[in-house]
Amino acid sequence: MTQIEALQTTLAAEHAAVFVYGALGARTSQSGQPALYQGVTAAYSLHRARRDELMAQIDAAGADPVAAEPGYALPADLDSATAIRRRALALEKDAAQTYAYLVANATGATRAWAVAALLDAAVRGLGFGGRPERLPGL
Amino acid sequence: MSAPPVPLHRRAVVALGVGLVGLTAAGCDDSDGAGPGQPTQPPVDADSALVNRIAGALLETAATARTIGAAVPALADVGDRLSRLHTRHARELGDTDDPAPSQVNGSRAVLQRRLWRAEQRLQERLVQATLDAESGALAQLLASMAAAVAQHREQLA
Repeated sequence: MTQIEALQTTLAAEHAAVFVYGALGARTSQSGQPALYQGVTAAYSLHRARRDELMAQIDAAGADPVAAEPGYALPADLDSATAIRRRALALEKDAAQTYAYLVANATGATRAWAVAALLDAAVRGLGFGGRPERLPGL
Repeated sequence: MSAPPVPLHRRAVVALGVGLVGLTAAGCDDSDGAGPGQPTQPPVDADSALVNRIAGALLETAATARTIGAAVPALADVGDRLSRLHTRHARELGDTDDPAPSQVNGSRAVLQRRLWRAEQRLQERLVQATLDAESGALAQLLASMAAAVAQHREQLA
């Protein structure tokens, strides 16, 4: 596994996260669930920024960044705050796994970037009802 | 978002960590070998000094948390949770020692600040060790430990 391949895998995961967070945001009421709305919106912005950073890193390395799929499967049950929170937590756990994987397959600045992303995903998941784990991302 | 395949399952990562400090890598299977999809694995002893240093830092911080928890009833639960977390992380690295008892003095506020600082320092050391590790699998394990400390710090804030 080369670092570029690991970055491409991480980018593919971030494409999906951006799509799903967009869908979660569309199903969250800004007035009725302000805290959840803020959390989902902040997560959407962050994952979009990460996606763009990954594309830039891959591009700078001379490779073509993997494109997003036309669409991603969404769970049918997203009509309650609890379901949205649960889905957001699952996204952050997946993100933690993805970045732990990138840590293992990267060096230097890319590894440092992946560690920061892993820590952020682990902590961000707490805001969606997650509990501290012994080894987040593994 | 579906996560990519995790390159090493936890058992294999732990086995690698144990191998790094020269203990028996019991339970280590063929998936530990380098190959497509596997993290980089340098010679076994390339990271042993780093592993020893981090295991020591984990046990030292565990001792601090335990001692402060014992001294301040309001911090007993937190101190116990942190001490157990760090001790288990040290075990992941193959260190089977118990945290050495330590002594603390000061008011609740002083000891609470000391506990927070110790946790912050440990997280920073784990992150730095992640960057210093030659082995990708060890880096992954250390990064995960740092994330666990970050989660606990967030809950304490």
